Amino acid sequence: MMRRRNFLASLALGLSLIAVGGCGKQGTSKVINVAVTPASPPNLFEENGQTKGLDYDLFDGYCKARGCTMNITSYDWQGMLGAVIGHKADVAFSGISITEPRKQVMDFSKPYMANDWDLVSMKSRNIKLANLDTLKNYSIGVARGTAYVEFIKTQLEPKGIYTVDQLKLYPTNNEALTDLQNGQVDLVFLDGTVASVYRKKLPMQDSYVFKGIDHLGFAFPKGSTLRPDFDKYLDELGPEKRQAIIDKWMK
Amino acid sequence: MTFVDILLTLLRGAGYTFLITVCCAATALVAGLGIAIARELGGAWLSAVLSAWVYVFRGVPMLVLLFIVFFGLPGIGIDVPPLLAMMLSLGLISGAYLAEVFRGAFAEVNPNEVLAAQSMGFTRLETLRLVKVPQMARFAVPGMVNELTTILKFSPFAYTVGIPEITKQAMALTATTMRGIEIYAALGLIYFAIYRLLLGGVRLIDKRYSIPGFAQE
Repeated sequence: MMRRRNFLASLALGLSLIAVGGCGKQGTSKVINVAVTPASPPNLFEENGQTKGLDYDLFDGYCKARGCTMNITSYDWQGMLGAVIGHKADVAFSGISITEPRKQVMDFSKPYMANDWDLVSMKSRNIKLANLDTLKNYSIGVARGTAYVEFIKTQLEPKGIYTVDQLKLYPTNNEALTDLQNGQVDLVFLDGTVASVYRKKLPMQDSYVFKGIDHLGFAFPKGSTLRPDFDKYLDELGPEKRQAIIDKWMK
Repeated sequence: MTFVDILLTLLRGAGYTFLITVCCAATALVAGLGIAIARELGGAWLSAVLSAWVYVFRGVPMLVLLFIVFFGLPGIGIDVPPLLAMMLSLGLISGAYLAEVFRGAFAEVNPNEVLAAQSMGFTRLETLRLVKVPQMARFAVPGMVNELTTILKFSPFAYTVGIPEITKQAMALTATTMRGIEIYAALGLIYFAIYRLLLGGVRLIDKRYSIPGFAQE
């Protein structure tokens, strides 16, 4: 009986140690907890188990300049934003658009790059939109939690161009693009950066491009003390060096 | 990238999937057994409270509870690590289902045996420990295996709270290769392999404690 009790006590202790210590925050102030979603190439993705991308390079530069290290945790898109809002992460980046609803629950760095929004379709469908008059005739797929939904709600819906109810929502861009290939959806909303990567892998084209409406930023919890210092770093880096990093991943 | 390369990449997350399943199953087992036993021993008041608990946890969606535990509790100063958040959401929801499995299994125990134990002077606790629980546990095996399978299939929710299990590996790999069909086929095979592994473990335990002729009357 004693052996059984000891076993049960060891099991309980072991489980609680795993649960409490397994994925907890790092203790030192030099370690920055980073939330990412590695399904946003070229801004953030994984290759051979390594986190890479444009956003990673920018923040890696900051950490090298300030002598800090990153403790990266991968979430899905909603989990990544939730981690910043819930102060689980000190910063999040994976090509996050700066939007008004998000600014109410998190702080953003200065915009580090402008971004187009592309409505893409399969080349075989040959869908080309000169304007948005006929947009309502097509089904549009978007990844859940992305800024496109808010854009359609505030910009397109009041003008009668398209409604949020018409959208087909998917967990990530992957599923939306798979459905695009399967012919279940006509158009998919993608960031210009993301579209530039997928155009090399899939026979797809831009059907319409929204220019100058989107800027990407690094997301911080409300009241973050890290954000002003990161903004300072972006100023120190300067537009030319920042553009060089962007060009490295966009070309 | 060959199919074997895909399998090897996804297997990086298999340890986490296995760990999540085992930890949540242990939580569910402790919670379910605790509730079922407390219902057997407790009075009407305790039974009503536990029934309400089971009712709530069987009804709440897994993702909602996970969000409340992981992202909501830090708002009131309670920081819950990812694996513990899974145990407190998936583990407790499955525990509520297991409590019902155990309740049904307790009802299958022959009441004449309970009566015999009481007539021989067994206390309620002794009757429970020596007569009811040993039989109930054997009756409950099929229901427990079902719930274990459910826990395994719900384990991808762990990605939402940042645990890099195999579905996360599949999504990350699909994002860079766009070979969704092969990657998700490989993912299905790995889940099936983990299921067979867990089933084998349960069968070993079942065989070790089986009593010839029991539950075949």
